[in-house]
Amino acid sequence: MSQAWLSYDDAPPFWLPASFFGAAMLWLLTLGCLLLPADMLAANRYHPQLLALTHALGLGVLGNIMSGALLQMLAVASGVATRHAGRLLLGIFLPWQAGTALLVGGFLHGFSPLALQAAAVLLCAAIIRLAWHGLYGLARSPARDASSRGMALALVALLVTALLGLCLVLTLSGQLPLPLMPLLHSHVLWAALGWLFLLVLAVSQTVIPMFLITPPYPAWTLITGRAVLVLLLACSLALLFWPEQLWLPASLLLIPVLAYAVQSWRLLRQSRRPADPLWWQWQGVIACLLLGGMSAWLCSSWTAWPSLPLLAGLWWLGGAGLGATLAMLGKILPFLAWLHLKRLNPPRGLLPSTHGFLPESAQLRMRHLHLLWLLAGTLWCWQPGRFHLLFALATLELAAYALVLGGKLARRYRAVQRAVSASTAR
Amino acid sequence: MSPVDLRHLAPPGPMEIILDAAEQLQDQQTLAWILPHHPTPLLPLLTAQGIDYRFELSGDGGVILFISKA
Repeated sequence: MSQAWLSYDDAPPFWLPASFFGAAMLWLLTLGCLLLPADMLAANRYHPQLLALTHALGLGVLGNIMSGALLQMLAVASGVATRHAGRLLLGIFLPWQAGTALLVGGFLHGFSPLALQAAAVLLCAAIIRLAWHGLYGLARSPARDASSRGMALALVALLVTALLGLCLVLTLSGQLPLPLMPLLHSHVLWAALGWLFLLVLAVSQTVIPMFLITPPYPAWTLITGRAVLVLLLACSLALLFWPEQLWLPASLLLIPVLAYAVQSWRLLRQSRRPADPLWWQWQGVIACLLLGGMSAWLCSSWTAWPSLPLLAGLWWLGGAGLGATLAMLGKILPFLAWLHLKRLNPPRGLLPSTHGFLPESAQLRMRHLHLLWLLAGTLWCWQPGRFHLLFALATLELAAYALVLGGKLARRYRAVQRAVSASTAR
Repeated sequence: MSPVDLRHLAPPGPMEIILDAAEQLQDQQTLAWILPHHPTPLLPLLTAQGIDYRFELSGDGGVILFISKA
């Protein structure tokens, strides 16, 4: 990480990332509620309930955590100042939640064109605002470290994902005469490998060496990120113009995933904190990236088992994506709370340690609940009609525990904040 | 003065200990700790408190951080 541009003065107020993180936990709860009715009795990747669940997880849970973390990382690690936090809340947070709700509702109500179009407009507006804040800020920032450059790549991929999503909605509602399936596959690829994988790759280059005390990721990790964007572009062009040649860029996309997984494993083996919950969580993230990537690659040639695309999505989004974001939240959120309160100059003894905000035992329990959730989800992908209740209950339990932890942290934060105000007023 | 080894602590424990000690630092006093690596996130916070810092290599893979009042 570039030391020169590490700036806590540019950090957004605590409530800005916390709003995104809180909304993510509520979306996780919503995901559990959406799973309760057994609408999908057999594995079908195009079932409306599955599309609603995928977007509730991808946009509601992961999107919120990633956006909140991105705003924080952009400010602190890349010097992109958050001057108008209220405007960012209005321009990103609110349309993001409304757009996700309309999209999920639109899928569940028979692909309602009005709901889907309104959702696409709101989500595009939120994503353009986020991308403008990030890309414009990064272009003006002197930070040139791997995380900053990686975040820029992820934001570009997010923009492309959103535009492809808008085109999909307009095509579905008959407004645009574009080929549906190439658009759909491109949208999925840019979201999963562009936005999610590239952001995990960028953020892990700061978080893993810092919290697990490993050597830094090598310089070629950034080149891997650029290669992913080029291969994604090649995949989209192949999908549109040369579908017979898609196997080549799609197969090549496995190489960056494999390279990142191998490199991360090598670093984890050199970690000085192998007993840290994050160490185990990151092992799981890497395993799920490989499982999800291989399953997605097999989907194109082996269509006999309809559960395979569902498993690929679950392991990629739920295993790697949710695993990574929950693991990073467990480290970043208590540190943020501690850091913001520290800057208020509290009297000695008033400020608890970061582990006082969220103990490692809680992170360990969260990891176990996530593993159980993943197991229940795997069974659900295999036989949705039989295991939907188990998966719904596992989701609700995970969401409830995350909300309890978030609530405890928020109460502790407010108590210290009030005590500092009282001691200053005296 | 022998530096205190903080390498066994979970991050950001060492950061909390050093910032706490920096608040109570007396004029002319120098404190030192052994850390597992260069403490990048800590440095802007020390600068904001008006603390000078310098580093030495510990010789066994760590970094020794020295702080004193600016």
